Amino acid sequence: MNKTALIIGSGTCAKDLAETLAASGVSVLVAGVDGCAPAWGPGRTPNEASALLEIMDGAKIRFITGTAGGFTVEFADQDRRIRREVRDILIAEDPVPQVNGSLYGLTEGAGVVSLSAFKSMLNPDSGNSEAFESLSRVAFLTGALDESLPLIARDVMQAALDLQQNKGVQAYIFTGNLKVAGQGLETLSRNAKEAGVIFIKNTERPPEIVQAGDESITITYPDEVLRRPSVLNPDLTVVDETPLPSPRLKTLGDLFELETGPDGFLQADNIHRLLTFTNRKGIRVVGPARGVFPPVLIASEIAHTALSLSRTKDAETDEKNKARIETGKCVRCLTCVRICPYRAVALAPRPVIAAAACEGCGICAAECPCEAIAFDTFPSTATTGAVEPESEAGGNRSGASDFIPHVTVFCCSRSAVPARNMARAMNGGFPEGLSFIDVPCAGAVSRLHLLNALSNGADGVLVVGCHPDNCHSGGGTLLARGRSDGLKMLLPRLGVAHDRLAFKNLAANMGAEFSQVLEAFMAHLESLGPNPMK
Amino acid sequence: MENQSVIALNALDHGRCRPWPFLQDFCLTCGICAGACPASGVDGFDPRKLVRMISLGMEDETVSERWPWICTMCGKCANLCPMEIDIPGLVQKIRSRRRREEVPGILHKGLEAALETGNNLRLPKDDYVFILEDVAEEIAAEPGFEGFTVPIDKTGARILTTIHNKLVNTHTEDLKHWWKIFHAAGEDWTVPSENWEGTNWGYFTGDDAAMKTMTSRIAGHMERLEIDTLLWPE
Amino acid sequence: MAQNRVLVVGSGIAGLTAALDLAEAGVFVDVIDQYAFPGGQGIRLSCKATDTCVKCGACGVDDRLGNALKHPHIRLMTGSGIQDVRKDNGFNVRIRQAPGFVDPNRCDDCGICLSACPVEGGILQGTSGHHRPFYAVNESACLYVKDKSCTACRDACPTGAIDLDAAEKTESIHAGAMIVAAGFSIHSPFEKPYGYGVFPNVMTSPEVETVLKRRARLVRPSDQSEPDRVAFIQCVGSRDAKLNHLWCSGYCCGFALRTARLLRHRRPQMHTTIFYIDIQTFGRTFDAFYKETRESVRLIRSIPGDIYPSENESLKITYLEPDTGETLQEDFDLVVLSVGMIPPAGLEALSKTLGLRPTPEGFLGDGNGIKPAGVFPAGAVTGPMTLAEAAAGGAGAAWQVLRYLKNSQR
Repeated sequence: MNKTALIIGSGTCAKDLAETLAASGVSVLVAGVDGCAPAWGPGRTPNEASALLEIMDGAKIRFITGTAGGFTVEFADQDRRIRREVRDILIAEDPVPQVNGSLYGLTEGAGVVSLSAFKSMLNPDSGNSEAFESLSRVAFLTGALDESLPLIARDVMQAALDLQQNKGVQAYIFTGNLKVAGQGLETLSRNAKEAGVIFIKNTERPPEIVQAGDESITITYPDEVLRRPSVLNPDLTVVDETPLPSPRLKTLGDLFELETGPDGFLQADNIHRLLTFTNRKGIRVVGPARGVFPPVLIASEIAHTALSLSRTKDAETDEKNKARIETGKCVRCLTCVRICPYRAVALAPRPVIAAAACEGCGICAAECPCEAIAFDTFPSTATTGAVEPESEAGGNRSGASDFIPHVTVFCCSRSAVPARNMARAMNGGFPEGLSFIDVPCAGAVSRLHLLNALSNGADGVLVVGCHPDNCHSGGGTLLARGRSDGLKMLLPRLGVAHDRLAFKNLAANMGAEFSQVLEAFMAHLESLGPNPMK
Repeated sequence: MENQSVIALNALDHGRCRPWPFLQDFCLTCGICAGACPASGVDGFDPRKLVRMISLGMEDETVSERWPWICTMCGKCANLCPMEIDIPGLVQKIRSRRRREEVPGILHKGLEAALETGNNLRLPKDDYVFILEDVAEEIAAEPGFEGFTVPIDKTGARILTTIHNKLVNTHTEDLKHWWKIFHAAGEDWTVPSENWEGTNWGYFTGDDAAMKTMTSRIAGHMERLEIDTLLWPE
Repeated sequence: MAQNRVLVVGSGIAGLTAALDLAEAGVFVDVIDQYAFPGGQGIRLSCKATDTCVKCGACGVDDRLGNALKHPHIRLMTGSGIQDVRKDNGFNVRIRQAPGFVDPNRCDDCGICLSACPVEGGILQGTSGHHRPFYAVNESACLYVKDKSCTACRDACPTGAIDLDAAEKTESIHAGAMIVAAGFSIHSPFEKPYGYGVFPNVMTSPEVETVLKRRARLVRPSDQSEPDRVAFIQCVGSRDAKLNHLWCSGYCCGFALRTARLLRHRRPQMHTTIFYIDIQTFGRTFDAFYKETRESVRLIRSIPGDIYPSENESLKITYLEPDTGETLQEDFDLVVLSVGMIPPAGLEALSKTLGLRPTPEGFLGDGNGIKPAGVFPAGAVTGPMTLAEAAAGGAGAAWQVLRYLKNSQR
């Protein structure tokens, strides 16, 4: 099988990633989604592993098929169509810095420059030293209106320190909250102050910055320490830049059906995706493609990716926990194709589940209208609720009545199961009457599971899943809650109190809450009495 | 009440006070100094504000304001400041920059009196001794304190103590609290007959030379009377 | 065969991430931790989710620990420390493991030992479902270990799971490389003017985490009641030249904002106030989170200077009101000190043993110019950082170790 990794990116991150991988013996193909691959310009050649590094310049990515371990990528290079097989896809697109001039109502020009431009001016090789002779006051704006970042604060403080110490020009840093969470930042701020840099912080009222017709700047602000209005006319104003997700990421996200974060970067804001994972096995996002991170962190990500990809043996596929579509029952509604968060259902031409990409969450099985999807280790919808509850001696019961409710608790393997283990350890056990059914994801619990549990003898049914944004399957927990909420509306028509069914969000480290949820639910069921459906 | 005039940064020389040794430029503006200060908010005093004004180079304005004179020099601010800024030192420096005729209230007049006569009130020696002995007699008349006398200039005593000028002026009764404790404890103590002033308004007015003179006098008593321990309540 | 074996010192998020990455690459990993329970500081954190996850990363530690315990290439040893190291085509490391007083096959986590023990901190309790057994005898506090004067836990244990005469173990490991992921310790703020250790209702952030973890509610130490007015004081022991702690500890703003928000969500009648200097960024949607949190949590941009006892063991705090310049006094039922990170206990000794040189602040930094071959620091031991950064650091170190092992084979 082809072990090539496809790197999609047009800037320095893609280059660094490509060189690191090639140096570790991984075959690399580098391309840009719109044809723009990173340029190894004259004077900078890829390192000696260039035999492993192929650059496809000018070829646009049209689509991909296949799954983890075996993707087929189709490129369009003018009229030609090129197909390549790759094992892994890595997206490493540099950010697009947005100069924050307009945020402050400023236009770049003689009196206003971006931080990058100013850093170039400071660079001794730029031959710009005379430019500083005419300056006596320079103002830096970072996070004075919205929040800055440690990465940017570092650059600003370094530039201000350089200016103050080496060019003899007075620097002022205007900010809201000074960002110092990062290696060496507190010391850097101290060194800047020692050199004479003045820090001006605002909390509620940002500075008013006016750019006159002659390009002169007036900054008026209430000094919060002196509680007096203050005015500064800097000779030069430096505005910071916010790194934004490249527009290429949207194209890639649509093309590859990848989750997008709330900030537009190509990774869900979900800790399960750390460091470089996406919802699709075999496709990763690195560095500025997934968020705004300092160079040290990006270097670690590149290292981590190289380590994973340079494995010579592929991770074993556990066939037992994969979904299987039973073709006799499948009516090709394509629900599974659409709902799979991992895009693991291919059409070939009937829906078929790609084992390499399937993460065994069970959402497809729960959604399939024909119950055509099976798992070997999955709870059967028919028998839930009929299982005899475990008898344990621990935990707390209100003991208010002799009636011991039989409660079926569906436990998500990632949150409820570890929480349950913690709860059991903390309390030395659970009260009688509980049947725990472990599921890979709360999204695997179908309406039939819930209804059958109630009609098979459970007095109450509880589903415990991860919090939204912490679900490994992305939306599994939301689906589960939706099913539960919908069913609760129907239960009264069956003569069953709607609150015999409950859904709770918990995390893996919430042992105390797990116990409390159980206790409260059981106490409530005790007051409701036995299930009339029994 | 507080100065509301606009601060024109362009007109300031921020480097003006930078050579001062008080570390004021490291301020985080955390405000812990003002949070601990018993005088913060009183008549416009605010230790954090003072630190920033010096950092910006606003020396002239600070010297001319009255609020830097509100500070009691208790030192809670310096004790807590995470950047180790010597705020009382700053206060003293500002005060020292002011012309002596413009030192508020009686502080400088009292200091001049003390430099010339050994006490803020210009109280003659005879009158001073008379007052002390008068109070001692009153104590001796109380049961349990028979035979009480006030030891003045006693060589080789264990403790020398100073006297705050108000204790021989308007608050003579308060002397009794001290003296009864000494007596009950069987303490071997004494007070000087001259240069006995317990306050040091050289310290409060930022007049280092005067502060040194006042302190040297007390130290001089210790040497002259061969006493190792000083009790200086002020 | 040393080339395929690595020793990881520390089982926090950095150590676990490194161990898992190495194990997946076919390397055998011994992970040692000086404490009784694995998972470092991260495993002691409570979940701050309200309706949605707030991405603090704490449950990620549980996740990794669970995976590490199952992995056939990883061996985890708690209560263990390095006695000495010899360079010998790799490292010959002698490790001492504290006695396993509690038999995991007999212990059923009933907790009777904890109630029976007369010494505070003599019996330790776990904080995760992966901590089995859930109770451990604290070797350094145990009276039996000291002078055989007490057998209360052993006598009380209904399953006979406690053997107070269990012996320590020493073993030698031959490892091709080492990762130092020793994490950090927590500053104890006795020297601050907040009455820590004197007033019962003044707590540190880790103490709050422990209460939330065990009780799912925040209660006052004095009377176990839920407080109505809670103050958080930031930067206690951080950004402090006097203590020589010239760093921002990075985690505390996230802790205070998430915890205050959670408390208000669970108990809307509670008032929470955060006294701060500069709020630090965390997460990927910080602006929105910060804005939303400020609607229910009061933020005051000054640090209190004094504390006095008030009625019913409450505290009166004095602080500068930044807008008006007045110094105000206000009562709070509970005061939480967001304390800073400090270098981990034992780092000095460990550094000497391994030839590492901490920076003047005491963390390992970027090596400070000294990089002994085959030893790779990772995570918060290099300097204060968040869980996500420590995980990345562990991953980076694993990669460096693999390359080092490959190169030293030549």
